[in-house]
Amino acid sequence: MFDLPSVLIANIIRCGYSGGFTLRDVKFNVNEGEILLITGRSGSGKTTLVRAVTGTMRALDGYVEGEVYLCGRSIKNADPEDIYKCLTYIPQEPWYAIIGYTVYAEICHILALEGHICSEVEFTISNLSHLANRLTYTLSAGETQRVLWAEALLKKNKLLVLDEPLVYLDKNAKSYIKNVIEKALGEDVGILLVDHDPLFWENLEPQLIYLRDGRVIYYGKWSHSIVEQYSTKTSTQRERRISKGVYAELRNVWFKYPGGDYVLKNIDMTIEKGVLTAIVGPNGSGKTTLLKLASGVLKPSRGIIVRHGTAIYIPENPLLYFTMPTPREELLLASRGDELKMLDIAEYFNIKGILDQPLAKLSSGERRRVALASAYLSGFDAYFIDEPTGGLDYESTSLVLSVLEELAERDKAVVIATHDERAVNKSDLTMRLGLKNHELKGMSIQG
Amino acid sequence: MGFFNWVLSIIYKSMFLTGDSGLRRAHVLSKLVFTISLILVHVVYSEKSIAILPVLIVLGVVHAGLEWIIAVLSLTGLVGVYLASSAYLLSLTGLYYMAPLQILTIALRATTVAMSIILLFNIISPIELYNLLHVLGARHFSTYTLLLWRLMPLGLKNFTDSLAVGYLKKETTVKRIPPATASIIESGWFIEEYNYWRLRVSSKTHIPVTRTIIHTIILLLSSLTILLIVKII
Repeated sequence: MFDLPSVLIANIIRCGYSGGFTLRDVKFNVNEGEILLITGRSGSGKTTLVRAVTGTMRALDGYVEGEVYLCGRSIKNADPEDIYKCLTYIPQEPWYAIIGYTVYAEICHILALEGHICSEVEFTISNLSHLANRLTYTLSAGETQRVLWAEALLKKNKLLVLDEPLVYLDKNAKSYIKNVIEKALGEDVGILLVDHDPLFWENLEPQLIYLRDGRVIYYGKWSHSIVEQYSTKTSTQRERRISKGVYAELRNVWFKYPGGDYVLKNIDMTIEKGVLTAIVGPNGSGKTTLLKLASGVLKPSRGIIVRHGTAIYIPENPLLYFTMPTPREELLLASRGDELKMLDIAEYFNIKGILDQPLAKLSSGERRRVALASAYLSGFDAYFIDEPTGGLDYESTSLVLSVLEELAERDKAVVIATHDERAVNKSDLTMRLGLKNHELKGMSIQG
Repeated sequence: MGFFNWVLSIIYKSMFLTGDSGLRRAHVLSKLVFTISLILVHVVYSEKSIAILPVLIVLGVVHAGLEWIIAVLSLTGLVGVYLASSAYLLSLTGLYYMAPLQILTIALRATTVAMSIILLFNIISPIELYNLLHVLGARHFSTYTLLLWRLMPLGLKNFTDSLAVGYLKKETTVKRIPPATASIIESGWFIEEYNYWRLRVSSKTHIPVTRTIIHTIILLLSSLTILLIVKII
C-alpha cells in the first residue's frame, strides 16, 4: 500500500472476455481533484475499461492483465471494504445498481455500510424526501439515476466512476449534476467519466482518452480539435415532414400504476403517421408510461385508445425486447428466415461484426441497435421507442436517427421518448409532458 | 396472453403493492403474535379456520386498501377454485363421495390459508429482517434481504414487460416465456456486476424502522379476535 496523490492508477496490458472483445495497452491515472473523460464509439471498449478499473470484470468471467490501483490499493487483492470506501460507481444501466426495495431502504443501506444511521436529514440534503417511500422498482430511469447520485454525494468517496451518468436525466438535472461534479472536483475527488458527448464537459477541461476498437488512440489534455476530429455531428437541417394520417387517437386517457396516484391525466393526442414525434419532459413525468399506453403494452385506467395497425415498443432496457439469444437469430426471426435481407440490415445498422455474440454481452449501444434492427425488419405500422439514442456516440446516434427518419418517410408512425436534444431536433412534432404541483398534463406543441 | 397476464398482475398486486406502510409498520412482537395465532388456527382448529376469513379481509383493507384485497381475493379464490375443482373431479371417479357443501368448504379453506400466507408475507418487513440478521451477526447476508425484496417485483415487472413486448411481436405466451425468464437471469448478472463491492461489504449498523402504534394494536386485536372466533364456534 502506498501513499499517492492518484486515486486511480491503471496499467493494463490486456483486458476483456474470453473468446470476445479485448482492450489493450491502457495506461493512465486519475489524481485527486482531476477528471478524466473516456469517450469513443459504441463498442470501442469504454465500459470494458470501466469494468477493468472498478474490479468488476471478475463478475463477468473476464480478465485483466496488468495492475490497477484504487486509492493506493491493488484491486487484485484489496479488502472489499477498502475498495468500497474508495470508489462509487454509477453504471450506464442505473436500474441494476439499486439494492433497496424502497428509496428509504436504499439510502439507509448505503449509509449503514459506512456505519451511519440514516435520518431525515440525508433525504432532505439529497432532495429525495418526496421519493423516500417509493418502491424502487416503480422509479423511472431518471429518478433512479437521481437516487444513485444522491448516494454518491452522501458516501463522499475519493473516486467517482461514472458510465454515461446523464443519459436519462432531464436538462435541469444535468445542470445540477454538472455543478455537483465541479464541487466534487473542488473537494479533491477524482472522477473517471464515460460520456458519448465529451463537449458537454468542455468547460471542466478534463483529461481525455479516446478509444477505438479496443485501443487508446488519444490520451492527454482536453483538446477541442481532437474531440471534433473524432466526433461526427448529427445534421440538424432537415425538411419538416407532413403527417400522412392518424395511426392512433388517445381520448381522455388517464393512467395509474397499481397502488399509486395517477401518472397521466386527461391526455388527448393523436399519433400521426409519416412524422417523427418526440415526447419530452422532466424525469417522472410519464414519458415511458405514455409510450407503453400508446403502443398497447399498458391499458388505460380511463379513456380510450384507438389504433389503426400494428405497433412495437422498444424499452429503454433493450434486453426486454429480444426473443432470441444472439443478434443473428433475433434478426433471422424478424426477417422470417430471409438471410440475405437479415445480412443487409445488419450491414445497415453496423452490427454485422457482432451477429454471433450473446445479446447480454453486447454493449448498451449495440443492444439498442440490434433491437431497432429487429423492429425495422419486422415491419410494424408504428414504432414506440424509449430513449433510442441513450448513451450512443455521435455516429451511432446519426445512424439511429436516420433510421427513424426513414421509417417516418415510409409513412410509419414513429414516437420516441427522449432527453436527447439531438433526437428532439430531428423530430417533426414534440409532445411535452409537464410536472406542475405534482399534477401532470400533456400539451401538444407543433415542432 | 389475457388470462396469464391477469394472473401475473394479481400476483404482483398481492405481493408487492405496498412498501413500508400499513401493517408492515406494526411492532415485530405483534407480528409474531399474529403469526402464532394464524398457525394455531390452521393447525389446531383447522375445521373452523374458514370463520376467520372475514377478519383477514378487513385486515387486508386496513393494510393496503380495496385494490389490494380485490387482488388477493382473486388470487386466493383461484387457489380455492382449483383445489375444490380437483376434489370434485376426483369424486366423480367414484373413489369417494363429496357433497356440494364439502366442495365449498375446500374452496373456502384453501382461500383462507392462501390469504393467511399472503398477509403474513405482506407484513414481513425486509428492514426488520435486515436488522435481525445484523444483530445475529450475519451481517454479510443482511444485504440480501433488501435485495430479495427489490428483485422479486423487479423481476416480475421485467417479466411482464417482456411478455407484453412479445405480444406486440405476435409471439405466443409459451414462446415468450423463455426469453422473458432469460431477461430475469441476465438482470441478476448486471446486479452482481454493478454492486460487486457493495455485496461484499458487511453492514456496520442497523436501519431505523418506522413503527406505528395503531397498526400494532390492530394486529394484536386481530390475533385475539381470530382465536376467540375459533374457540367460540
